[in-house]
Amino acid sequence: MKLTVLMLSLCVATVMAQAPSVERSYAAGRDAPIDDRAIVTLARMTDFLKMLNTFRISSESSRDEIVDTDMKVQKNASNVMSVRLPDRLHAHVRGDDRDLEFFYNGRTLTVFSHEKNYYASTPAPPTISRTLDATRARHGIVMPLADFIQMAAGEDFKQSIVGAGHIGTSRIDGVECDHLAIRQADVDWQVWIEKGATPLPRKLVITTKNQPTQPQYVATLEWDLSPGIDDSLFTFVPPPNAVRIMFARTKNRDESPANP
Amino acid sequence: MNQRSARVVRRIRPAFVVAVAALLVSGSTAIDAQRRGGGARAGVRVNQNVSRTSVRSNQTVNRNVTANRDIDRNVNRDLNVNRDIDIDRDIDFDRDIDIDVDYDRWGHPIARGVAGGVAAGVALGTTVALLPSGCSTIVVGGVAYSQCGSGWYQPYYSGTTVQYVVVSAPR
Repeated sequence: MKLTVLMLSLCVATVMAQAPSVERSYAAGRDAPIDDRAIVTLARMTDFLKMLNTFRISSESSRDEIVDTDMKVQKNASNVMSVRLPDRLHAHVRGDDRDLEFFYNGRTLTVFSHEKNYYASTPAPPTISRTLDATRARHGIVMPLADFIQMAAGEDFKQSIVGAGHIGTSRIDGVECDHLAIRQADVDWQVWIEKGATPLPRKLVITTKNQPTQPQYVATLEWDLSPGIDDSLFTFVPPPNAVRIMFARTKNRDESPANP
Repeated sequence: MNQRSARVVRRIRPAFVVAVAALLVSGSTAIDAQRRGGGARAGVRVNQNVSRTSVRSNQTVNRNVTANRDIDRNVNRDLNVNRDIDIDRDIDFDRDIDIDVDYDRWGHPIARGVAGGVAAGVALGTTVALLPSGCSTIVVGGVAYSQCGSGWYQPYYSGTTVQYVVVSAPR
């Protein structure tokens, strides 16, 4: 009996020793703040995204804005993101009061407003990943679904997670998905990940916790993993009447609310 | 050099960034950082809070950008809205630009440029979200301006929103 216990302990110890240190803290089961099933499912998705090279995401998104001090209104947008890693990105964002295109070809980032007919171009870092970050830091622009593009580019999201649960099975657009709920210090987020051979995110919800009204962002996604994309898509050619203006440098403010 | 004749002194300030917080008019796209904040100074303001669209924190982003030295890559090419205006009078426009971008209770900007521009008392360096009616776009020396009567504005992108800063007439 004692021998059995000893051998079992050894086995457990061996398994623990082999697991990466980060994984070990997740291996605590469903009652733990970080459920291992959630983490495994999330890792399946990020591993799959990392294998992608060229893809297109079409998404419908809604985002809460606060008006009249504490009333939430939803602003909507339809977004198409065309990505070719590591250094090509095109985004078409059609939302309330705006119709914008972004072009990134590994050297230059351009934003073009269809309604205003103004465009601005700025030198950009050599990869999508760095360009997404630089654009956010310099200009406060966060591209739609930038997180998933960053995951495809290899960014590790696990270090920010303080809680994670596998909620259950759900259906998004009729597709069976694993529903995960994830906690971070400043946001809670939920992701619905397709079951089966293509574990792609089909829906994302972000709840901003550090604002009193806890506004939410919701996006549903459709993926095209073999889009026909011509390289010319990524380089902006100004329409005849388009006028070039400049970007202002803006501050990437801390995420904490200004009016707590 | 007559400093008063140099009405607009443009300086490049590599370390200086403009906080154009809360300038954005409508943002279903993805301006996380800008819409909130900046409002402590002004009187009546609408809470411009919006939900985040990314789970990554600004700290993470900033850390990456700093580590990659990407932050100042194009500092000389971007518009520095924080320009010094008439230094004799010691007017400092280096501040969060929120003096003229109050919003009504439903989130619409309520400041509008005026056709007279500087002549009508709108100070150089003031940023507005809306132009008066009857403006035309004129390109002078490769720079686009909006001329509204005797008032001149220079449009620029603040995030994904076009704003207009009052400038003196280009020569």
